[in-house]
Amino acid sequence: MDKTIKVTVTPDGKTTVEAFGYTGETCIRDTAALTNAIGFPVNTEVKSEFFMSEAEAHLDLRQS
Amino acid sequence: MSHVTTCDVKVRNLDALEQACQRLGWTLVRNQKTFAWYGKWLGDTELPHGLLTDEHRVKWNGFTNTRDQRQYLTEIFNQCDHAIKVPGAKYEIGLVRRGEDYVPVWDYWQDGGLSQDAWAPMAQAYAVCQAKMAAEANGFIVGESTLDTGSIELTLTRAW
Repeated sequence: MDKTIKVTVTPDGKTTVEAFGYTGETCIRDTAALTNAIGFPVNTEVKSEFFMSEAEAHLDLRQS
Repeated sequence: MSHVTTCDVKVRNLDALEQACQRLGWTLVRNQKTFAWYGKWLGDTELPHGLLTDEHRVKWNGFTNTRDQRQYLTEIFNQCDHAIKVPGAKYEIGLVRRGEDYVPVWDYWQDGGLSQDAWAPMAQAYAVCQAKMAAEANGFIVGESTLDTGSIELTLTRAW
C-alpha cells in the first residue's frame, strides 16, 4: 500500500490528519510536520500497523 | 491506517493567512494597528478566548469600579497587530499577537456585519492553506477535494 496522508478540515476548522500505509516512526515524522504547522495535537490514535516492521506490514498486505 | 491525529488550528503563519484571505475574498492588511468595531467595551459579551494575558487580568482585577474596567478593556480591544477586511462588513477582524499565535478578535454586534461565528470559514481556509504549504515544503504532492459535508480533504502523496 502506498504511503498516503489525508488531511480533513471541517467547516469550522477542526483538522484530522490520517496516515495510511505507514509503519513505525516514519508515520510520526511525516504527520508531525503537518500537525505542528497547523496547530497543536489534541488527540492522537496509533493503529496496529504502527507497531509492525516494514516486512511484517508487507506480509500482512499480501495475506489480506 | 497507522496513525490519526486531531488538531486545533493556531494562526501563526501570515503568508498562509494571506492565502486563506484570498481564497475567501477577504483582505489581510498587515500592520494595521486598530480594527473597526463599536469602539467602546460595554461588557455585554465574553472577551475572545486568549486575548487577555495574565498581566491584563491582574490589572483588570485591580480596578474598583466597572467604568474603569470597561475603559481598560476598551483600550485592549482598540489594539491589534494586523487586521482583516471582510466584504460587506462594516467592522473588521483584528489579529492580536499572543506568544507565537495570533488571536482573532472581532465585535459581533449585528450592525457591524460580522456574526459570532464569522471566524469559522477562515479557520477552515487557514488550516487548508497552512497544511498545503507545510506539505509541499516537505516534499508532498497535494490533491484537494470538497466533501458533501463541506469539509475539505487534502490527499498527500510523496513526490519522490
